[in-house]
Amino acid sequence: MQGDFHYYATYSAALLAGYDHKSSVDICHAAQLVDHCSRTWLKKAGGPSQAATTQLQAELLQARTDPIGLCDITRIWSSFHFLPRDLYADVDKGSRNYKDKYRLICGPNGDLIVDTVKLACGKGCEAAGIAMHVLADTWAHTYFAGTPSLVINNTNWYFYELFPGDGSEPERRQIKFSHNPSASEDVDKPVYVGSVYQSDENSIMNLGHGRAGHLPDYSYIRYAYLPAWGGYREIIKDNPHDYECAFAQMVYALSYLRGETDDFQKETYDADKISPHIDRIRGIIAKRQVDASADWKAFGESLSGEEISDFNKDEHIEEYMGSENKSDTYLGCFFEAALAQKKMVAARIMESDNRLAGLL
Amino acid sequence: MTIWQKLRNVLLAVSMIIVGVTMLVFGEEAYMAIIGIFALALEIKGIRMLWFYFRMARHMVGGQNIFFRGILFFDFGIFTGSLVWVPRAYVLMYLAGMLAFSGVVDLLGANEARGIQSSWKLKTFEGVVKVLIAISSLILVRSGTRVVDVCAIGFIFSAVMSIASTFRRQQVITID
Repeated sequence: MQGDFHYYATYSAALLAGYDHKSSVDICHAAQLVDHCSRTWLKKAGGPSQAATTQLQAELLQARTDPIGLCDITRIWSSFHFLPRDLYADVDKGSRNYKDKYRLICGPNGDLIVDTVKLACGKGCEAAGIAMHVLADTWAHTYFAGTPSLVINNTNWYFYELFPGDGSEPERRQIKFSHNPSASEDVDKPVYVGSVYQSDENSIMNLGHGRAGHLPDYSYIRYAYLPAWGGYREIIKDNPHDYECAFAQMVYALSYLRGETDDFQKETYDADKISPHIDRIRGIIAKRQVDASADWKAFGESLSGEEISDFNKDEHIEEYMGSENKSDTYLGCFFEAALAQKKMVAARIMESDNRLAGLL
Repeated sequence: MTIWQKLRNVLLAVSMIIVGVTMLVFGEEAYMAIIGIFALALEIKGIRMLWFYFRMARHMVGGQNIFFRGILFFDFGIFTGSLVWVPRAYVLMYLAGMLAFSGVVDLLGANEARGIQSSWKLKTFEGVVKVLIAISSLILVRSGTRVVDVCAIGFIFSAVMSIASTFRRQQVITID
């Protein structure tokens, strides 16, 4: 997902869950900061490098892909962007390394998302924002793993966008992927940008949904493809449905974090709170555009009557650098929450006897 | 690409340059040793790919490609090794054929890259030069020494291009 959903949609979800404007801004700022808190940025902000929640393009190109380097990559990407759905998934094929990678495939409504949301409870808006980023990404990044793997994350020529057809069957149009990141995407042809095929199992080109480009990040798109792990069974990814579920689950999770309910359970959505706005939400999600920020922003502002300032990742650095008690600052709380999330997910992966995030 | 991967690529390219220079200096006497090294390198690559296939890639959609490529590399390795017992003219034709094949692959790749707005000029240049070197080898096949020289130049050219592409700026798709 991108800034449109992590920032503006998260703001709207927080408002609908009952938070006021300022708290909602704090939550969505933390949710979006997860995509910017790299080691490079942490040096500038003066934060602990272990609190990194993402890796920049330049950092990935320099990242080691030996077992230790892979652990570092896996801890970051599995904890914040590709939360594994089932660490104990029944896999009856492949070597141990294959099984370990298979069990890191991301998906919604796993046990780890319950742990993630409960971990954020009572820890403030910063922790809530991080949890909302992780939750939303479980819907967008379904079927991909947060570790470099050709045998899990690869895709091939079989990639079709689905359009509503005249009959019961949707019309299919093959998607072509360009491998030049500076090339423009053409949603009408359709041509999208994806990372280039690398036969090396652990190449960073095979991390997450890189091979499928930004398709998982676009709310309007429905597509059919053959995931590398799927044994030639076609998967249909219905982003409009998934994004609506993500939004409804965020409202439910934020209501829990605000103390409205005592327990957070998976596969539960707050349909009641979004029902008065469902047509507008569906309209934004289904609109054919690669960046829905303007529409989500207008929706959020119509809910609160306040102006939502543009996201600025450096907004809280001055406060953090100048404070003697850093734990009381916005970034201090964000770093603590990020460290706690990474520690929790890495521990769960290791407890499942999976060696990709390290050894116990 | 990490510093170690860059270093590995550079070392491989330097060893290719040494092979090329050795061919230029020692002429026809050197290439039998080179054939041996070439065969061993291809066999190791083939075995590594087959190992990866049987452990992981056979469960992957399109994993058979890895299997076929592994078999192909291993087969090429054995075939290359067996050339020690055939007349030198055929060995040189084989080396020229390999170079031409590599050039054609580069040209096809460049053409595909052009179709999707990716960088294609360097690959096209590399492909054209390799094919021209291979054609020159075949024209000069009766003069063993000259063919060895042309093949040696081909090796050195490939190595220089490999070093250049190692230090080219790379990009990956940012996943958020």
